[in-house]
Amino acid sequence: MPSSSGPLPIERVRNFCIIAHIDHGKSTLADRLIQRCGGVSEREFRDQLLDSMDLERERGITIKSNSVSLLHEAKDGETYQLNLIDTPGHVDFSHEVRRSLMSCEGALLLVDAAQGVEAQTVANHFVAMEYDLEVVPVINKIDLPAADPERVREEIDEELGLDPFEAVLASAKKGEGIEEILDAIVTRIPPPGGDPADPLRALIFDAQYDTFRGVVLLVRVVDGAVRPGDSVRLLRGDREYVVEEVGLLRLRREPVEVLSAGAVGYAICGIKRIQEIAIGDTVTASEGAAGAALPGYREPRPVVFSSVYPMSTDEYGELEAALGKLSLNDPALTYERESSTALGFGFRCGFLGLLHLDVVQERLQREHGLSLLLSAPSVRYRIATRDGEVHEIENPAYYPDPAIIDGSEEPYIRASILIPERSVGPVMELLTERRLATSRMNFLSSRRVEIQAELPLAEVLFDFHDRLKTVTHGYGSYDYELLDYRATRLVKVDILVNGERVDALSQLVHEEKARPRALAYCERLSEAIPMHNFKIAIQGAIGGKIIARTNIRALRKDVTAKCYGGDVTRKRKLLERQKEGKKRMKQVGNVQIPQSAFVAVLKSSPAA
Amino acid sequence: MSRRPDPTPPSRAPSPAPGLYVHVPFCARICPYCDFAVTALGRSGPSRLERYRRALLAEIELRAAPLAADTVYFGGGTPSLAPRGFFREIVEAAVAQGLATPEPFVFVEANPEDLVQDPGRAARWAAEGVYGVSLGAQALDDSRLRFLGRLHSAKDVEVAVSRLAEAGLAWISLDLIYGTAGQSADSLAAEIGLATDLPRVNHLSAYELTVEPGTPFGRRAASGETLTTEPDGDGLFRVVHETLADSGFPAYEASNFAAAPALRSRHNRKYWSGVRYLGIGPSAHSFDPERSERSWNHREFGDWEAAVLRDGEPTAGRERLRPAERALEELLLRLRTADGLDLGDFGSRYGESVVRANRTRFRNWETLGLVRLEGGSADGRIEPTLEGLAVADALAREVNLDALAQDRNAA
Repeated sequence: MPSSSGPLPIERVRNFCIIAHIDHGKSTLADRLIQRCGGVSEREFRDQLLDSMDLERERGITIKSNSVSLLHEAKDGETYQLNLIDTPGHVDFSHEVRRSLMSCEGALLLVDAAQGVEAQTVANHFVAMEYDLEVVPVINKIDLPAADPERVREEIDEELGLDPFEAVLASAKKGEGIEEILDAIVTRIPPPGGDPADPLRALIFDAQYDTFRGVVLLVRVVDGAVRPGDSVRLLRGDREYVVEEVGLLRLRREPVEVLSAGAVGYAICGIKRIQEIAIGDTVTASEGAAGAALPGYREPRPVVFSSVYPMSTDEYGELEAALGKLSLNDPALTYERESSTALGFGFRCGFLGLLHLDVVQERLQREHGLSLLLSAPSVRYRIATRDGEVHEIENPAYYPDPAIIDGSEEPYIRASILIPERSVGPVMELLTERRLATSRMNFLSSRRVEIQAELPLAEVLFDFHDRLKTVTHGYGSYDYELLDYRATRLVKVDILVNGERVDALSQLVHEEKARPRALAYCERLSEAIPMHNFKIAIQGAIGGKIIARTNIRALRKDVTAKCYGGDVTRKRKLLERQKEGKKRMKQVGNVQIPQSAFVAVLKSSPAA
Repeated sequence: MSRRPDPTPPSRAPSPAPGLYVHVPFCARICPYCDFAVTALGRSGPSRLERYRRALLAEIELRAAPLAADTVYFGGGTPSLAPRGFFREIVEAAVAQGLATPEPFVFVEANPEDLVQDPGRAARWAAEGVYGVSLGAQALDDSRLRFLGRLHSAKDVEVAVSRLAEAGLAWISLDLIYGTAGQSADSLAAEIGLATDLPRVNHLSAYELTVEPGTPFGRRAASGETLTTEPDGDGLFRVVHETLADSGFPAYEASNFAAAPALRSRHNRKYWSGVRYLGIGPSAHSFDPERSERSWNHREFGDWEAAVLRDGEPTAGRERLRPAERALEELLLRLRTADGLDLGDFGSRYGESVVRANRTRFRNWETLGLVRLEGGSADGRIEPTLEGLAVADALAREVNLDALAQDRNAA
């Protein structure tokens, strides 16, 4: 194993990433590459490396990118520095994926030997092509009984337009094909370009926080060079810092004298607060002509919103602290305080998508031990009012009086849906049900079809993924990108319990969906609210108009037959226990609604 | 002892004099739904009854105190199994020890077959000073009686009632159990009609069948058998209350009905209104409002007997009620009664803030037709309607007693 450290000549540097559909084995492959190049034990990198969060390991996805520099002795006898830049593996994080791709010259495109090419594989491949990356297809999991590398080769040929015979066959799990992959990285991915003599421009593609050193910037130097002692400026932050240390991302940070054009590494510049920096920003020299910003930064823009409440109202402070902590490393997570009569204090949170929402929810629950209640996910609408103003509204609480509304718009997406040909009928039916605007069909191969569909984002937030899987018998996958805002007919549906509005259950929906959605809520609620000593009417309403209704009949007789022999103690104790249970319920008007009822109604938010 | 003159004029409040309860823990056979403290009398019956009599007299001596109860109630079990002279002997012992006033109202629970098999029994009881009998009829339909594991027939009930009437007992009450599997509203109404038509019956207690764990019914229900009518809202409860009200027996408590206010149970009402009572015999409960204390005797016959004869202390446990506990009891008991609760009085005893904290709740109940507020105010008397009576436990549970719970913590 090579043991030399320090920057190698740029011709012997390769910057690459691994792109793959979720669960196609990206993290396992990364682990293998690191093991092969670094001589690290299984346990060491479990403790230190990629996918360090439990959550990521369990879900098989990488949420926050981690990167590492590997030294590899190639067949030509030379040692190469292979910089693996990790990428998050899901559509919600597409911008982060792009940022990682911008730092590379090549990509390993991983395809599961059994699952084949999926919607996300195609989407990722397009993005890689957009950045002109050299793409090396890797057919992974060839050890699986269901593996069919020949079919997958065909798909790579027909659906991705890549040379199927360049694909490397591998089983990351068994360590097969790893040498071939390393060779392909060295021989097929070009070394980075860039002139070390130019003014400094480096892309911040990620950041870490070190309790002792402050913010650690992970950078790809595009032009020029950066050394300790240099004065640098972050273009967006407009503040100057002095570089304290630069280095390579080995298992531990390994300081070097200089990071030159083409290099991937870290820089410590005495930045104390992570809020001072923005991922995607450009680092330049503070003196001399600073170049233009690199196209890496985009204001993270949440597109999916949900209200998050602690199950127990006294956990509100802990929830606030936990959200603050998470948002440090996750600039896409937004939150603002709100309150609900039924649920108390909570936060209206913004997410990049459903998976992002799911991940944040799980981290809050797992890492911070919070028990949470989330409202149905919603999108951000644009509402024009008579006074000529346009309001962006994602919270039903702020929906204006319909009398003053001039028009509404909602976000649309282009979904790319990859399905077996025989599923076209049911999938088109599903899409029509989801207010499909336009669709185009591409026959990728004899068996597989890509449907490009334009439809409202709100329509994929509710149970879409599961329904797609069902109607395609598990073979369908989809990916989407945001398109634009289009006119819509929006209504606010309220849920009333004995005439009292349950604010946490109000939602903005398309007129056409109002009645079925209201009815679904009413039915779930009527199953989940225990009988009371009076009849309870549960209604769905638009303004004053009732559009759905269910009843909970009055409690059957609830009086003990006999208080016999004067034994009142037993009876009282029973009542005391029941009273305790009642305290944990939320009161709406004269109706006690248990937390479990809200959970039952709101849990319908599908896993992405 | 001579029979008491006619009952005192009706009044809202029961007699403030204490009550004495005597538990007779024996039955000829244990009913499959019963979870009371009873054992079946086998061949050892006579000697067991004798041991019981001796221990009971010993407990009366231990309990000697100027209680001056004006009611003595023999409950069970099956007090009608008691040997000749038993009621007189026990009452006289209680009077002698100050536990009861001379010539108290004496009530006895009885099984119909005991009155049928021994035609002279009713007259002997009357001669022993028994004032009223609560007859465990349970049903007036032979197939329901068999289902309930009873040893008598509907005809036996009729005969038993006529014997009680002939003996001149002033107060004759029937116990009924409704809600057995398959019972319809019509057949229930018809059975109630049979009961109220029996001459001289002036009181009824009607209990819905409750399947208790640990009883034969409990085990049968656990194995999937349907023993009660399917939940039908408060259907049969309503049938019972409406049919009895129409027949001149309005409810004065969730399960109790009287032909006139003066005929309301003199003894049981003490339990519901916070009057002092002393229970003697196995498993009997006592309440002392002065000390705010509930206590209870050993439940098993052997334990109780040993505690009385060997230790001289029949009480197995006691608890002092904190204000929140006592207030909850008062709510759960009084909201079961047609007379309800005087909120002004309640507020003066537990604090105005408790009533204030619930004023909106009481008004909501009235809007929902669950209670009547006297004078339309949430400071006067609150009386459950039939709708409210059906869910009296839920009402008691809903009252906010947090103000009292805080007092308790401070104390």
